[in-house]
Amino acid sequence: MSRVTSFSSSALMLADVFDAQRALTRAQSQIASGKKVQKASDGPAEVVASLDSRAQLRRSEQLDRNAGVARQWLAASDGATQSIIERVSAVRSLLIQANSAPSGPNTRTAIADQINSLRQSLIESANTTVLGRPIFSGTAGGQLAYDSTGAYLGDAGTVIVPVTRAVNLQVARTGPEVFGVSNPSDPANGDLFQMLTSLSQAVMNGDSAALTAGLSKLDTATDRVQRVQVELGSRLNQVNDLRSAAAANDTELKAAISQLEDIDLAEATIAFKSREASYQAALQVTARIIQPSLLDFLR
Amino acid sequence: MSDFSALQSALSGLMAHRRAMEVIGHNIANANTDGFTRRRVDLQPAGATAAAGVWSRNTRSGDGVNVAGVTRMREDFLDLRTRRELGTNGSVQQLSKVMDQIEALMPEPSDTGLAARLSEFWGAWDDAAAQPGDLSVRSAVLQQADALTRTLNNIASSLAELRVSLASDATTLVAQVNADSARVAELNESIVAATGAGVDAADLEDQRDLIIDRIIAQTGATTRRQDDGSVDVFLGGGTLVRGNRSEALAVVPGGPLDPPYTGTGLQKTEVRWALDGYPVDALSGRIGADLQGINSVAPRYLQQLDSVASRLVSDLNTLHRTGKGLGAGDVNLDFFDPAGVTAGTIALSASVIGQPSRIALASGSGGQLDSSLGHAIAALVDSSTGADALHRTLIGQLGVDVQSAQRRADVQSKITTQVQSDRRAVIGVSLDEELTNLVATQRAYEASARVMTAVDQMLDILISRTGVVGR
Repeated sequence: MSRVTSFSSSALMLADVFDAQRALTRAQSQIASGKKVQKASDGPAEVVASLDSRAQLRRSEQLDRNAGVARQWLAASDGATQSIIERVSAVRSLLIQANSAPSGPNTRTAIADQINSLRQSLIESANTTVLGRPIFSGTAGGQLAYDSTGAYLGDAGTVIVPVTRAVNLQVARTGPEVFGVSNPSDPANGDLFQMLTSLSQAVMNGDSAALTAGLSKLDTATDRVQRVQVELGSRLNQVNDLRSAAAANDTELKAAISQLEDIDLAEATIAFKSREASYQAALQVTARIIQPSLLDFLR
Repeated sequence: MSDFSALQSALSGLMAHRRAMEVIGHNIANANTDGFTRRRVDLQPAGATAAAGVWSRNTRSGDGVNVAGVTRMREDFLDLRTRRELGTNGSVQQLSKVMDQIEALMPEPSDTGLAARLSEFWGAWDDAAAQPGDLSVRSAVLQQADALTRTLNNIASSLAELRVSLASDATTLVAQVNADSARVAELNESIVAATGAGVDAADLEDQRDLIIDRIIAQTGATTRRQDDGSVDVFLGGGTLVRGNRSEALAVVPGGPLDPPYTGTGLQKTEVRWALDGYPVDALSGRIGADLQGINSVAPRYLQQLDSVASRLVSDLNTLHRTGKGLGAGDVNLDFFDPAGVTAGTIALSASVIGQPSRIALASGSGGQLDSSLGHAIAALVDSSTGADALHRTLIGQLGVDVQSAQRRADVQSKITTQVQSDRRAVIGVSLDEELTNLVATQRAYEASARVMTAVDQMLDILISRTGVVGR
């Protein structure tokens, strides 16, 4: 049997009391911070997984902001194409009116003026901006997609916004894709603005054949704008669908991070209580063992 | 056999037990003295015939008791074991502290660490790409990049500071070890002289053992007891103390770090023998851990951090050079300074610093407000070989290393406490035991006094009352 000396037993008891105290402090700090993993060594695997999930979540929040930008673009395109379609259909009614009944030069001038003013407001619609940037000018710089004469100032670049990791969404169409390609040598077959100039000329001239041909070309132009509207409208739905799927994924990520990092309060409290009890027990027992010696019993 | 020999026996009993009580008193007085070894008085019967002859007749009853000596209760085996554990303990405890400090430099998971900085940096690219013409959003990219490079610079410089503070710790400890070695040599000399002169040197030995324990905790040295009572202390292949001579150590800057850390360009720190300048091999203990921290642990994480930085620089610059900024000539520009490919030196390139319009968000073939490159750079966050992935690997590695260092320190601390307690169980003072001995000794003293009284009364009868018949 080994001897027990006051030094050896007090050193061992002190070490045990310190252990109990450390466990208690750790349980307390877990409850206070609400985190079971506070630094890398608390659980290397958990920390790496949680870093990964956090990065994914931040990326997803970023993509959410991107989706907001995409929605702005798509909504602006939707509004612009809608008003373009309305104005083109107004032009169409005017053309039918001009073509259906013989009319005097005054009436024809009035109709031609109306067509011209509709053309100006179409140019305004074509210069619709989002975030300070014309939506139909491709990737070109500058404040306008079309100048006041109806000449295209943009380029053929595509505006892309990533809304999920896999999907890079094209959120705009360029001017020529919406209004047709300009044709300097044959304005009647050029873009919408050239077409309207030549049509208003035809109304002035009472050129019935040109008007009839113009009506069918106008229908083709309307179809083109409508296709763009439908396409971009469906993209808007696509953005919403993709983001709601991503939002579900985000919820899972948050749950995963919480599961990795956060404590279960009930479990932690019970652990804390049991450690507290063992700490107090260690203190009491230590106090009792240290006190008595033979001195207490010798007279 | 003299009539008075019984008186002499009683006297020897009184003297021996008084000596025993003195020793018990010394033990009790030192019950709480660190490093004190308890003493025990060895008694032996006096006057007994050492070797009986064939024809001799021994009718003697002995001459009482002698104090044969005072034994220092020490076990060499426990000393050896305790000292080996002390050296290991000094090393793993210090190593665990170093790891804790490194971990504190890279607090993850958090919203302020490098991982968060990286995420915000990539996010800034997406935000800028959404409005490529907006200079204020472009500036945010530069601000986030600045915060990111500063974070990397800070961690790198903190690691460098850690190496400096470890080197100064090692220097202080080496100076202490040198002083301790010299003291052990002095004590060796005193103890040899005292033992030769037959003087009790137990207190000096206690002092020497305590100092040797301290040397071992700092260096992981080994000891050997010599026949003349001196103790030699060995460190690696060299001798720290031999007899009454001691050798000094010195902390000196070495050359470049050994592979695989040579690439960090850092200098190593070594402990050498002051006399001949040979490096001390097999250095353990706290000084050994300090050197390990300086020469391999801190460089390892610095190297990993450098690889994060250099990946950032190469990924960003490769993409950035293909794109163009807002201005006509803003092509083929570096985003990060290509000269700074370590965590300590990473910085924004002079081409873009303070000039947000020159940040390339447009691809080389795109229009002025093209944003495809900006989004492509933002998507680097998902790259499985990118800076984020490297950083996660680093943190995972660090976590495992810190955890294993802590576990080793915990286990070693338990073992050390246990062997120290085993040793204290032998060398330490148990008050109960001393009191029991005190009671026994006191009773023996009283009994010896009683024997003396009995003999005195007996002699009184012989001297005073004999031959007075008829008086």
